[in-house]
Amino acid sequence: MGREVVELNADGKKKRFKIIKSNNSRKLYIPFYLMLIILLGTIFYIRVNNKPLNYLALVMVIAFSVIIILGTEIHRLYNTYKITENSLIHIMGYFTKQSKRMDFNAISDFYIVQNLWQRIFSYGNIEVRLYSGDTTISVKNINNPSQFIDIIEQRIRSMGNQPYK
Amino acid sequence: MEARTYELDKKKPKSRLVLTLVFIFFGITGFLVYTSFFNPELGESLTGKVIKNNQQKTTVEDAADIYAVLEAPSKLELKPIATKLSIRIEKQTNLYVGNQKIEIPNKASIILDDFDGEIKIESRTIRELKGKSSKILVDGLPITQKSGSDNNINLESGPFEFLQITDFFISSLSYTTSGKININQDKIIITLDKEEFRIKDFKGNMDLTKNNLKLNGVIEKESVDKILGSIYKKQAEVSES
Repeated sequence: MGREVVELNADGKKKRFKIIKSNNSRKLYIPFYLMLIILLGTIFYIRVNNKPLNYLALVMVIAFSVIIILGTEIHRLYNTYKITENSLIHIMGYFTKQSKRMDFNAISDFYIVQNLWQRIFSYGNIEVRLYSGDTTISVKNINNPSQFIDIIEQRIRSMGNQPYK
Repeated sequence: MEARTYELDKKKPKSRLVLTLVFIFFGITGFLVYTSFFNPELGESLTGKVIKNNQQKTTVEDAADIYAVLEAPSKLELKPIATKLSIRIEKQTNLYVGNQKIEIPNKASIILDDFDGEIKIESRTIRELKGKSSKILVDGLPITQKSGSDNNINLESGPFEFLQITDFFISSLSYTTSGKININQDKIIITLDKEEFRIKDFKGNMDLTKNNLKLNGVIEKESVDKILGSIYKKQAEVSES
């Protein structure tokens, strides 16, 4: 998982680490995918039962399917979360990008927020709190949030700095 | 001190978008189900039939009356929208009305009112007959589909004795044949002897038996000129040689 990066330390030694990149989970769009399955299933049932299939309805289904598939994929790309060697970066936007870098040293603790639906499909939001206490970062709709936290904790530990719990 | 959530984005009306998509989904599903299971005519009036009527003229402008008795073509493909289509079957075959299979006995007659579909005839046999009809009669008995109101019909391939299409339109018909053509009540009588018969925009009735094709209706005047022109040309070639 992630892209491997090689950096030089202050003492000139090579250091290898992976940049882990994550976007919104596709599980977030399950209700939309279900809509497509229902529409395509209805068309299949109509064809199997030799019923007349209206051309306009078929065109609408195709257009709706394309909009949903493209729309969800484009929406996914809006938020990107990156775990580098010593920071968590939240990048937002399509063409004009805004990013917020949060140093691991500044992170105090994490909260996982999952509703029932998110728990069933194993995705959710993470709230990252800072020692300063006045700001948090919301990592939204990420796949397997506990694994995401584990990776950050591992990085923090490797920096020799245990997060406060 | 209460934590302040860091938000890069401004709040968007996401729920409104989702709600719109859900409404669109239910609209499309409803339309799909309604036009397929309950009221196929609604869909046709919105799309299919409007387009078909535009493509297939229902009137012939600048027309001449035609009555022709010709040798039947070996192959004929038509997509008529006809008031009535009558067939007398030669051998036992099957007619499918929706999911329903109806056995058609020897020499039975089938009448399809308001037929809209496709007919392919080859070597004195109906190769394909499929389409829609508002009313189906087999030997005078009406047939209705068990599950639903649509009458999608499909006739299995088989030989026929007689086929009559009433009040329909064809944009063109062309084949080499022999026979007699009567234009504008005996004003012009053309006898063809293995010559090309080509007409454009015919509206009327057609009777097809194993040997003969009868056309009774109106054609574009231009077609008459073409028929005459091809005959004069042929005669000129014969006299020259």
